[in-house]
Formats: sequence, C-alpha cells, structure tokens
Amino acid sequence: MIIYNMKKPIDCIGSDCVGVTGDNIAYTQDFYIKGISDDSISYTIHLRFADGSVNSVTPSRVVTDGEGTAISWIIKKNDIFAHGFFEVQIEGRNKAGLVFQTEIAKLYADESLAVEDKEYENPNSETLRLRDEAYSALEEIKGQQEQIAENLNLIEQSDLSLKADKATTLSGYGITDAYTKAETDSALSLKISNEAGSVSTENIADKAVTNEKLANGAVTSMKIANNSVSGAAIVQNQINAGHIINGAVTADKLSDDVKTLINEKAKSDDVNSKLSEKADKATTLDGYGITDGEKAGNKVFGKNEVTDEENNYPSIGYLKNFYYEYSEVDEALSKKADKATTLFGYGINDAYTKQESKNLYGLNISVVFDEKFNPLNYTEAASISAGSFATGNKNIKTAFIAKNLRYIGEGAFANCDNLTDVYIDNPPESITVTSGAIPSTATIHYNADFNDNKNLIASLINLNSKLSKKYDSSNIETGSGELKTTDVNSDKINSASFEYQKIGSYVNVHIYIDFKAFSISNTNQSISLSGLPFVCCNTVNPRELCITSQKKQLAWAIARNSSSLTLLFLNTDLFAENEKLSFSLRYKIE
Amino acid sequence: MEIKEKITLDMLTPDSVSILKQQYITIDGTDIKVGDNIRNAYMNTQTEREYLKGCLPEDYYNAVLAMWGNGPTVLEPAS
Repeated sequence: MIIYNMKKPIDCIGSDCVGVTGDNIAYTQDFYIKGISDDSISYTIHLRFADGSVNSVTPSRVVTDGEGTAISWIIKKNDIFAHGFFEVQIEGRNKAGLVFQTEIAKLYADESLAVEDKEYENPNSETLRLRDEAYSALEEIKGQQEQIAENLNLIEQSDLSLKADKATTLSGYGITDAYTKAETDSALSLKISNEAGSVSTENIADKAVTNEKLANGAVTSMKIANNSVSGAAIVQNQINAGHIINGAVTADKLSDDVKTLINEKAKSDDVNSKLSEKADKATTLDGYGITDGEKAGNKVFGKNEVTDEENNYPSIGYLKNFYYEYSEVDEALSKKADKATTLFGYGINDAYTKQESKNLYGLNISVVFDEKFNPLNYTEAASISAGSFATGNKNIKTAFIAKNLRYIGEGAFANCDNLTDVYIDNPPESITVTSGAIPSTATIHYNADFNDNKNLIASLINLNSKLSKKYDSSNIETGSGELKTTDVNSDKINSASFEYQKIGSYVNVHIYIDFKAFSISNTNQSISLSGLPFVCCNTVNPRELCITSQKKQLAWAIARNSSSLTLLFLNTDLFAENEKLSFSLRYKIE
Repeated sequence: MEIKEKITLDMLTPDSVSILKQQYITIDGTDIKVGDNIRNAYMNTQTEREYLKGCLPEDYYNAVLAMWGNGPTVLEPAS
C-alpha cells in the first residue's frame, strides 16, 4: 500500500513489485489518501512505463472513511505494458473538473515470458516485441516465396513433356509456317528462267509488267527486238526524255509524220517559252511585276495627303501650289540683299552706323568730372590745349576725351592736381597727346569708348541722391478756410478766416479776424473759433501773445487734439468796429 | 461751364475729420483745378457735428458718421 498525506506519498517502497507483466491479475495495489474524503470525486490511476508508453486505469474500488480515501487497483493484463519500474500518479476529478492530483510514485513489475492471448487487444511490451518478430518472419517468408516462384519457372522450362521429339522434317517438329523443299521447288518451277528467250511476249499478260516492277536500266535496246515496240503500244507519257539517252532517237528512226509532229511541237514550245517570259495583260504595276515604278496612289496633291515620306511624290499641281517657279525665285532673290555685316551692305540708309551714332549722340563731347562724377566742363572741339578746357581746375578727378578730339596740347590739364584718370575714346595712334599735356600722376586709358556714359550714369545716380534730400513739393498743400464761432460770441466778431500751408507734418496758419465793437469787462474772457484746417497734434497746447490793430493784447491757444482756436482776452478793453487781429501760428498735424 | 466740387475726407478718425474741398472745371476731358483749397477740421462734438451736417452733402456726412457713430466723443471746448 502507498499512503499519501494529501498529495505527497509516504511509506512508499519504490521497489514494490506489483506482479508480473502480462500475468499479473492476481495482484492488487492499494492506496490510501489522507485528508481527502469526498464521495463526489472520481479517481484515475495514470501509469508511465520506462519505454515512454502510458496507460490510465480506473481503480477497482474507492472507499471513503471520513479521514481519507482508500483506493484499490486490481491489476489486469491490459494495465501494465512493460516490465521494470514505472511511475504512478492518482488523479481525482468531479463534475467541475480536476480537483486533485498526487505526486508521482514509483512501482515495479517483473518480466514475464511472452504469452499469446487472443483476448489481449492492448498488447504489452512483450507482445509488441512478439509483433516485431512476426513482422521479421513475414519479411523472410516473402523473400522465400519469391525464390520459390523463380525456382518454379526454372522447373517449368526444363519440363521434358513440353519438348518435341528429335525429327528430320518440319512436320516432325510441328512447324507449319515454313515451306518444304518440294513446296519451294514446285513454286520456283512456275517462275521464268534467266536464259535468253525463256520469256515470250505471249507469256506476259497484259499489264503484268508495270514500270514500278522494272528497275532503272532493266530494259535496254538490246533486250527489245526490232519493231517489237510500235507507237501504238506505247501509252501516253510512258516514254519521256529521261528514258532516252543522247543519240538514241535519230531522224532516220522517226517516221515523217512523227517528224512533222515534232517540228510543230518544237514551234509550239518555242512560242510558249517566249510567251512565258511575257506578263499577262494587267492594269497595275504589280500586275506586270514592276517594282521600281511609281504607283498612282503615291502621287499627292497637297502636303496633308503625304502618308509615306519614302514613297509619296508630289503632283505638278502640288509643286505649283507650294513651290516657286525659278523665275519667281530669281525675282524674289533679286529683291534681297546679299548677306552683309554693315548697314551699307544691306543698302540701309535711314540708320546710323555705330560711329555715326557716337559722333551724333554725345560721344563726340569730351567731359571732365569731379570726384562725385558731376560733370564740370565739356567741349566739342577736336583739340584742346592750355586754358581751353580743363587747365587749372583742381576739382577735376576724371576726364573723358571723345573720339573726335584728336589733339591734346601742352598744358591742357596743367595744374589739375587731382586728375587720376583720362579715358580716351581712341587708340594711341589716332590721337596726339603732347608731352606735359596730362599730369604724370594721371593714368591714360585708350579705347575707352564707354567710359563717358559710365561717368554720366554715375553722375545721374549722384544727382538722384542729392535730389532725394531736397524738398518734395508734393508734400505742400495750401488753402484757406473760415472759422466759426458760437452764437454767444457772434456779437463780437464780424469774420474770422485763415490761410494755411501744409508742409509735411506741420501746418502754418495765418489768421485774420475782424472784430465788432464790443467791450471786455472781465479778464480771462475767451472766444472759441472752430474750423482750423487740421487737428492739432502738438504734445503741449500751443499758445502765444498777439496784438490787435488797436494794440489790444490777447493770447491765442489751441487745445491739443482739437481744431478750435481760442482767443483769451487778457485785459478789460473796448474793441472798435472792424478792429483787426492777424497772426501766424504753426502746429503739428501728425 | 460747370464747376465740380471734389470733397476729400482727410484724416478721418473717431474723434475728428479734416474736410478738403477743391473745385474743378473740365476742359477737353481734362479736370483743371480752380480756386483755393478749402480745408476745415471738425471735432466729434455736438456743435461741430451740426456744422459738418451743414457743410457736407448727405452721402459724405453719412460716411463720416459711419466712423463717428451716433453720438459725440469729444467734449465741447470751454469758453
């Protein structure tokens, strides 16, 4: 018995023998599992043998006693497959599934001899070995059976009852598919001998000998008697040229009729031969087999009809429409100028040549420039000398000498201490520069035909730069307006007007006021006049003193961010009718 | 010969506007300016709103009011 404390086996002797393999029905192995006493559990005993095979058996008896469960396994033949040690594990399940599994214990089964048992459906290892031996025996039997079949064949071949008795005739051996000598001789006696004259014409049945049965050269003239073959006996097409050797048929062998026929035939063949070289009557080039002719379809009458540039060719109409007659070409060409490189070459007389342009439009003007390329002096003269153009001008920085100026005399640039460059629009050989004409500190540049333009452009840029610093009149606006006063003060003023001049962000306003006769009884009395031309944007209210035509002292003021002029009467005064007040003010408007 | 008046609403802000009036005549399709520029600035006070209404055509006045709104934004100058 193996006693388990729950899952762990105790009191287990691994060498317990549970019987003999294949013959172990007499043994019962008992187990007792302490701590498990549940009637609803079903148990299974799982076995695993040394060769890896497994088996599961249902215990023969399960009894619970309140403290544990006693399990008895009555071992049957089917249960143990192989002798030796094997592993045992008990598993308990209920309806919910696996609830219990012991640890693996080890038992032992003795070996037994192989015992055949028809009722034994699940062979143990001993039976498996017997089965393998049976397979080996069957393979051996199969080999023996093949050897027996081979031997039987040999025996049948050597069976004397199947052999013929020794004999001298065909029939003696039962041979039926061969002729006897007598039969052969009899048949040969019916054949034609090779001797001359052995075959007579009458012995040859009509059509008995056909062309196919005669080898080439089998029938020669030597074998045919004179006159034996007449024309009537020769069927149509039977003898052709291939059958007749050269010289075999001569004129003397032919009858006159045959000669006539041959002549007619020869003439006919000659005609046919010549006709065969002629083309049948046709309407197309293909019909006559002409490959190098032009097909009518290739002719096109317009460019849009060209479909094959290799084979299409133009019609006369096409040529007329798209090509000039030679006379037209000549006439057109006569109106064209020959290729040339000059205006004169093309006969153009309403344009200036480069040189004419230079001469006519500025390049014949010699100019001197200051350091900012401002032109200082110019001349159209062909020669310059001391005092004539640039002498003594210390502001001259550069000079341009035009193409028409051919002589620079001594002293022409005397005392031009700041002269650094002289650009001459001529090569050295086309101008005379006398010694001392140009200070040695200046550099002379010949062939400088563009430098005057360069200097003039620099001058214009310089001029623009200067102009940009000048006042822009578009920022000036002048005008006038009327100032309004409230009804309360309408008894004090006849009119109030102004003229203004807006310059950029400022405005100058000249005020004219014509008073009525009135008195100021209290100091600091004021009149507000609205309608100045712009809102005052000064950061501090502008104000100043002013005096009327009758020398009354007032102050004017403009409230910041307003367009109203306020007149403040500083003293008690009596104003006369048409007393005037005129003053100018200036304030910021942006 | 008809004299046309060109009105410019200059420096229009919610508080003020400067009205420039210029007169032109047209000769051979070309406008030629005649007379001085007339310019007055107006503040968005109750009094000057009324001045403005009196000196501007209605469409220009409405254009100013579109910026100024329905009421004055600047106090009347103290007298």
